[in-house]
Amino acid sequence: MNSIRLHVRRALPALAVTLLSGLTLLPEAAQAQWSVGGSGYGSSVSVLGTTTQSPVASLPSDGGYAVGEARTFGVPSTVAAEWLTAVTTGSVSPGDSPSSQTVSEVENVNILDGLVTADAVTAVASSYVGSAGAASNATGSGFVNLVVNGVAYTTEVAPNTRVDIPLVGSVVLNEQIPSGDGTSSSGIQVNMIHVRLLNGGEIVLGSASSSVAR
Amino acid sequence: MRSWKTSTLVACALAVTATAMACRDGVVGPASSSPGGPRLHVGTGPAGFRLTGGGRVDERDHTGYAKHTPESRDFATFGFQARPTGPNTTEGSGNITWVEHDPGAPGGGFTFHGRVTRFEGTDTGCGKFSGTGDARRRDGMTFDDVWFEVEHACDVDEPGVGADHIMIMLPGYSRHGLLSGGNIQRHKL
Repeated sequence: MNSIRLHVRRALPALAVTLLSGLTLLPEAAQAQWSVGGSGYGSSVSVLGTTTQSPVASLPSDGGYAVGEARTFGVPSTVAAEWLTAVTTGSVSPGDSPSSQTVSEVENVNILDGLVTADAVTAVASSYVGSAGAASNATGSGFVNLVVNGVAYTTEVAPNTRVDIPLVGSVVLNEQIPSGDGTSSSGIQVNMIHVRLLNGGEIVLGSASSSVAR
Repeated sequence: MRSWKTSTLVACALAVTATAMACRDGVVGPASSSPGGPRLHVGTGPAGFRLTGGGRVDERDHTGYAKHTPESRDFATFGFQARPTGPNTTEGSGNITWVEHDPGAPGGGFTFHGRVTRFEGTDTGCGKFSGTGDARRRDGMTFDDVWFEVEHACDVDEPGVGADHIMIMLPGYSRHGLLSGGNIQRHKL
């Protein structure tokens, strides 16, 4: 019994030193700085080595607010669209939960001379830190009166729906690309219409991304 | 014309705040002062926090948050940051973008960019901010120095869908409801 007490007495100082060492490290660990990311744009067209893109909203890594918009956007015989607006916001500060949100929308969309049309295309990307860690979602993203190759979509379009179009290429609708480990980082990229042409060209309409990480 | 707009504005704003429905006869045009009528939240003065947010609102009340069906343009999207300029002031700073898609809204829908000049906390822990901005309506008309007020922006939970809620008022227009997409986040100053 005395031996045990002796060991405890001898161990206490060492334990205290260990705890104190740990405490001195805690602030550093707690201050591991979060960063946020966000980006959005209405339309991007890459064909024959040339990329044309509508204004981009880019969120600084320490947060803020940014807008990229255009009244109209057009690439002849490829894309015509109106009212392109992308807005991204977010914030990060010590001891606070970071968050990032991006919304991108386009109206009166016409791709490849009517192959894909929509009255409105909305992409929403949201990243945050909750009780379970970092997380992201694309809830709120959607189409209004979407028609692809003559087929009208009257119900919600599931994420990453692929439509092959003979002699043209393929279209991925509501494309969602998650990233991060779900604990210390999370992000999502949303491309509501992503056309991949057989000639290697790409067309993206309604793009929004968000992320949080440390 | 101005008096017609002003009377329309006040009538619509009163109807909006009283019945929590949007007035579709309004103008989303210039207004030098805020409309009267009851408010859902009461400002309590200087706030010890700031807000960021972005997302989508489909409903016009706080009872549901479902995204409307794919043939409906009856929804709005937004993004904002807003804060007091200091710890003990109701002067504010920040920006908001609000896009109304509803063809039945003033001008057949509009895009609004506002600059925050006032920010305060409410009795329910939400943020309330206001200022002026520019409105571009879908019918081609544009207005500068349009007054706006975010009567409340509330961070209730993470994620914000179905929990966080917001209400905005512009001349002849209002929409408020639970988020059907996105998030509102309250931050320390």
